[in-house]
Amino acid sequence: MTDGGRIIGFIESVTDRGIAGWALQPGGAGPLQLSLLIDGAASEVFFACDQPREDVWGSRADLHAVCGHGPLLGFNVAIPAGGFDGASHRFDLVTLAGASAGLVVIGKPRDWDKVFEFPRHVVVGRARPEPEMGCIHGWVYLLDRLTGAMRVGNTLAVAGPEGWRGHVAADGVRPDVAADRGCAPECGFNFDVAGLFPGGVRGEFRFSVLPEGLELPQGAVGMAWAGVAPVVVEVVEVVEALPEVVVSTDDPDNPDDPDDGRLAFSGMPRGALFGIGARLAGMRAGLAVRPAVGGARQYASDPEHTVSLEFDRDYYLQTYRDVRAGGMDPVLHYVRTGWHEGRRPAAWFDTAYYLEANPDIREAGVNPFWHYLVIGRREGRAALREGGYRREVIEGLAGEGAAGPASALTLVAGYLEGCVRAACAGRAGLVVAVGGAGVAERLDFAGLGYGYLHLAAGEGGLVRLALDGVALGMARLEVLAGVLGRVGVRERRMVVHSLVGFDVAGLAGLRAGGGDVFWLDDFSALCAGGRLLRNDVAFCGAPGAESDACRVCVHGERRAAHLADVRRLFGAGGFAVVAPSGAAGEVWREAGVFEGPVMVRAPAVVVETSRRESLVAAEAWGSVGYPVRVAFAGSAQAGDGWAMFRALVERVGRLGCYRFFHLLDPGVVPQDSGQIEPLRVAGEGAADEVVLARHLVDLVLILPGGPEMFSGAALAALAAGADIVTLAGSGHAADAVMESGRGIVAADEAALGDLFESLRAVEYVRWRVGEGASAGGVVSDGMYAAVLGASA
Amino acid sequence: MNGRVACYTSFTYAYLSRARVLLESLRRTHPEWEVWAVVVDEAPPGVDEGAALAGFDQVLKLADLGIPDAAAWLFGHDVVEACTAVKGAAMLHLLAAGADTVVYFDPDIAVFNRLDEVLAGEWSVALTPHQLEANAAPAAIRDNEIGALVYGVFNLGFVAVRNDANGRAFAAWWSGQLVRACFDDTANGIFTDQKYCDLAPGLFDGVRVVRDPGCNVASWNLSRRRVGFDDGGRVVVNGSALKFYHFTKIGGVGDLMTERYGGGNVEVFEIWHWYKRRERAMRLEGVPVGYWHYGRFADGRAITPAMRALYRERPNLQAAFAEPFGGELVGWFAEHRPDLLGG
Repeated sequence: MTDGGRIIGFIESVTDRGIAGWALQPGGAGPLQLSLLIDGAASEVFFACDQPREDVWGSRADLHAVCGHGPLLGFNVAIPAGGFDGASHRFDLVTLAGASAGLVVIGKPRDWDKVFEFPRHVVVGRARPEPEMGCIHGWVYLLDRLTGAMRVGNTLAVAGPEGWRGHVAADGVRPDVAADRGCAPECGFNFDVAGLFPGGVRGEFRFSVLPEGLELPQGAVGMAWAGVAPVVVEVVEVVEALPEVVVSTDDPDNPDDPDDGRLAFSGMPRGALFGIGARLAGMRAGLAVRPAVGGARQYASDPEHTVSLEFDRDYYLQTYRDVRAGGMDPVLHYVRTGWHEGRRPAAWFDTAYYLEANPDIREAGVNPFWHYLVIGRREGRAALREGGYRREVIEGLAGEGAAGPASALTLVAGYLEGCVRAACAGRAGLVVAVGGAGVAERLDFAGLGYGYLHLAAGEGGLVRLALDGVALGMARLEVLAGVLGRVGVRERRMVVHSLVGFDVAGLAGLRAGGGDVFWLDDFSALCAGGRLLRNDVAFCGAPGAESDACRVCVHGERRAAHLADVRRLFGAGGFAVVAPSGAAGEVWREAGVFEGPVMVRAPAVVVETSRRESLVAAEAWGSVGYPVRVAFAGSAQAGDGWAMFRALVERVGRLGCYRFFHLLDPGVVPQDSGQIEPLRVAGEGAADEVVLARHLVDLVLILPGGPEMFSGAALAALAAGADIVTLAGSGHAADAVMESGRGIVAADEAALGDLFESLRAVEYVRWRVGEGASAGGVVSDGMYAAVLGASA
Repeated sequence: MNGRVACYTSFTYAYLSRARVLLESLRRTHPEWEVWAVVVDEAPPGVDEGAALAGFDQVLKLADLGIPDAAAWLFGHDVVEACTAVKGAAMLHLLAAGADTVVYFDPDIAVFNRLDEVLAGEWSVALTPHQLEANAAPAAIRDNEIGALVYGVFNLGFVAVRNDANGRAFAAWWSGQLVRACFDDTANGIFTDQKYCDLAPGLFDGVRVVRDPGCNVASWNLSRRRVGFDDGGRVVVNGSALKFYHFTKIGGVGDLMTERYGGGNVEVFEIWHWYKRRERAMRLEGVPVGYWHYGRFADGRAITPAMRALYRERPNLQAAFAEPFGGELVGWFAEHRPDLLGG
């Protein structure tokens, strides 16, 4: 995003940790210098945008020509103390010369004037279960970020398992904490679990700092988990075998806030053993986190007990509903039968994989999770197949000669000829369309008086024909070429959208001459695979056909022959090459396989007709009542990011702040989609933007494995008043975010997960809800026909 | 510098498909090299040996290698021992045939990029260590480093010699050892042709320890190598172009060890999967799985390792049955040691 062509950059996040982003002055001698304004007044905060940002540099080749100082263009400036007075503030970044750099969350409009409120108080502390002593002890103080004061002597409300409530004073003397943190020493607490639960107890204890002067009676309300995790301001290091403790930023002086000042952790005290699980909980309740390796913990040889120490009960019961319905203790279930059935004791441990990868363990017949905890982890054995969905794709790759049989019945030439003659009678001509959906295009050409013969790739080198929208059946290309030759259509044009699955050499026989159009809807002119995904797992960028990459790729093996066929198809001349987006044209040019001009014309545009406004306060978004609604737009294939989406849902689904949907017809989505809900009913034909708008989707996920040539889903999202979340390198989808200022571009899969897990996605949606968004419809305004006219 | 290069591989028909993948990869990367096949086998019935080995420039059989009492000698080896035992004699043969440089690859290797840099400069013998970087995880130390101490520091899937005094001396020494004792006998400090080469840097001048991580990439060093693709689509390993990958024990324990140490390095599995596809495509119809002509007596009975061991330990048996694959020796076993007879 540029500011009058002078400053380029994004402010990616504004949190109480600071303002982060990147910026540069095109042609500037060095990193850009900026200063921070608070409510329009100078703050005396000056800084240089000189932190390395390889991610930006790597994904924005356009910057290379205008930025002479390489990837040194990032910044992360702390909020000055004055920003923590609890009041609303507006922040601006300006150049030293006074020119506004704008305040831009990725994709935001340039005139954005968001105000922020940062809580003045945060709770800092740590809790540590002591199984031997039957207690949980720790320390806590309240930090006033405006003044720097640290309040000790707090009272902690305690919420325990099975609805237990109580409180404990945090005024014990802790000179070690005082020395380390600089607070007064009266900050310690010691919670006597064994005394309260002499028979042992298993569950989570949550600690909250009470507002000053407020006594919390036993069983007090106000401790319920609202489903929205507060922002984490300090993640205390994970101590081996102990739960993580995280600290909230909510204002403890507001007794109405159910989340106020909580300090939470979980443990699994149990009778005399009082074993404490290393499963991390607290603010990230439900997230599966892999425990740290190493440490001095000694495991007992009793598998049930050992397994219980790191067993994820929530995960198990949520994943295996039959176990939940049966009412059996999940640890017992896993130890007795679950592992034999390949069930996972936690998201981070794959029982079936562990046995497959370690035949010695399989042969020994021991519980694999127990083995992993006792010795396997230290030996360096993997808990699950690394490499994620990409490994599954590779294992499933078909080899050479895997093409399907040519078994379809084909159309009789005479019948086909009759159909084509009838369709062309009195018409201006016939368009032969190769690949692509074709509906909008067909209507375009119908308006101009053209018949429309659509070819879809079929099995065994056959093509599936539809004439003016009516399916005819299958035919061989040479038969079709003969028919078209005999009919002698007055004007015959070929419009190619995709060559995937076609006998390209055969298509050359269908060309009548000039005036044809080749749309770059995919990369099938560069590679028969069509998507430039090496082995369907990684964007390859169309290297030379003789490269190692093509050599080891399932699509690359026939790439040289394919390119020769495409050259023959182009060899007849007269093809106008049209890119549906700038990104598509860029990939085509960079591949450098074919010479000649490329026209960029979008086949559809969003026409804004309305605004999407919310009657509910923005702050409600991300709560249980108003979870952020996230829809995945793509097929259930790895190349469309389906596995990435599934992994995201698994990672953050249990936070409760999001609700996940898919945009596809439920008939084509795998049955085991878990928490992913369908947006459509089976067979529903409504346009994507209509469905998205009807269901008030906030974010549309577009996660292609490589650059999108044209993302109809991006347009649908914008037309529905939703914002886009996509990945760097997603071509048109990322460009749509940049151009519209509507959405977020994550650097990679890890960044995508962080975006949702850190709740920045919720923050973003709250901001969007406050701002409102334009909405409208997606229209194709005769672009296909216009292009054909231009090519003639 | 390398002059006329003769490259060879040693295999039986069971590994013919792998050898053909190697050949294909050599033609692509080093079309100027001569490629020799050393075949320790006879073609299965119905398979035309000429057609099967058509792509190789030259073919050497056991009889070409000048090993005394070849049939009796061969009987004392199992298939792996036999294929490795001939490597030294074949190296001598190629040096004598006038090659300036002789390069050996195991048949389950595929070459991806040229070895010009690896073979540049002054050297007489080039060897690739199993490990170039120390491991940290106990399992990796056990599998890869302790394994190398038992089976040999260098992997003899690759060895190259120059036709100079050092190179010839190495080849003569190595060949002599292999003809004498090339067995899987780690208890006595021998592992086929490989363990002997632990001595090579001490015994000979001009031994180059190839430290290019792009060479001899295999499951035993994946714990310390990262495989990826550069922008030009070239496979790179720890930043160096992949020269050759050793697809050792693919489809068996190689899968397991690659799984263990390839970990999340998805590109490793892309290459691994590619090799499986190529190997399948290169199979020749009519070659039974696990076929080895010298694995059975003439009457079809299997020759067991115990029979081989007994035969090679008993000079009187060797003297009495100089052509052991025929019917007489099996008759002797039937009469005197029926407990050793196989199926």
